[in-house]
Amino acid sequence: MEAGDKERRLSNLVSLVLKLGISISVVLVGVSLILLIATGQGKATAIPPADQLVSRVLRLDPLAIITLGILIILLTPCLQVIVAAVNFIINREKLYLTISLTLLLFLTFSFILAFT
Amino acid sequence: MQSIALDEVNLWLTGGIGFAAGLLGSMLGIGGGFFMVPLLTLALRLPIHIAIASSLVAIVVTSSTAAITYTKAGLTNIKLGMLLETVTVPGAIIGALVAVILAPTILSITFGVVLIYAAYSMIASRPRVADAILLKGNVAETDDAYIDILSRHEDCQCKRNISQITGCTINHVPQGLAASFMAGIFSGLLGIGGGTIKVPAMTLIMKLPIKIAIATSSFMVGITATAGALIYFYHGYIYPIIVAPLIIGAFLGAKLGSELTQRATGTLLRYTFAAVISIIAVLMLLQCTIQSQ
Repeated sequence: MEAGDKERRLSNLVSLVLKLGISISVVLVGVSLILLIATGQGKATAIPPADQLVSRVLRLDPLAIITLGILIILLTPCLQVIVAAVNFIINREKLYLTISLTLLLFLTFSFILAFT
Repeated sequence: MQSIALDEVNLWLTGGIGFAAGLLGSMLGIGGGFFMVPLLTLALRLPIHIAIASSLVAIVVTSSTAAITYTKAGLTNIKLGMLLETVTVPGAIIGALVAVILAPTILSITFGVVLIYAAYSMIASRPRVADAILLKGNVAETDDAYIDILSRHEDCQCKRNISQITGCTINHVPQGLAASFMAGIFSGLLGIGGGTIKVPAMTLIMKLPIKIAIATSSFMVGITATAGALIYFYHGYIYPIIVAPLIIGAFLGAKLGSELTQRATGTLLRYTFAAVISIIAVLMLLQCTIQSQ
């Protein structure tokens, strides 16, 4: 595969990941916002605690679903880095694989900090 | 952290701020934080730390939405973006950690000063001069003009295609890395994507054509903003009721903006960028003056 084709494939993959991540999160946030307005919840506090998030999402709590949408938004750039890393593995581009993994390390650190 | 009631938030105004930021931000290769943070503090009277946190989340949406179009068009130098992000992300984490302990006034003043510098940088930049080539009667004297002509004449027998321009030789990488690190710090500190520093760095220092710089910046900004947003997430500054309308507005604005950018010239983008952020700089400094009285 020529260099130009490799670049094009990577570009298409990254574009697809971004499209899926942003689309899903925007739909979740939009629908939940409408539900929140419709149910007219009194006090809308900050992000629900992590240990309650899943149960509240399953109960279709609008605030929890918005939070899930926000988390998907924050995960999407990380996914684009993962996709790029996988692409570099396939193309045996060690330098850029190293760069991608370094970036993922920093992002993982941020996620761990956010949830501790 | 304080509670914010649903009826205390003007959802339409918040969405409108997001839309404007998304529209202008996607056209200029920035996340829109330079518009969102001042408008959220001025118009909605939100504490600046909440405004910064909200802005960072919305920036991920605006930049990623713009990046979808640019990446698909082959304008994004993904490898360069990944390289620069290895220093931008640590910078964003550091900036956010500093911001949560800083006083709001100091943040606002810093905001205004950085904006003035970024406006000056864009006006002072000169387009890179490429080999002149005759394309169906049009002479492209710069890479910006070359890209414009290529986008209108996809079937022409051209000396280079867009991917070759995107993957062109990059100059002064160490200096570009240093600038990206600073962009990361300001991103985490001020709730911006860092594109206002990254784009001038890529055009002035690394000599990229402006559309490639904008496309690559859009790719990078989402990653940078994510790192900073997670720090504010940990400190409890993210409020779903504020972030939600901001995200929706930003998404719609960015969708429109990325389509309009394809039709704009490089020079027009550069001068529009400088003019808009100059206005925002004045607004922020005025806010500091009012608050200090």
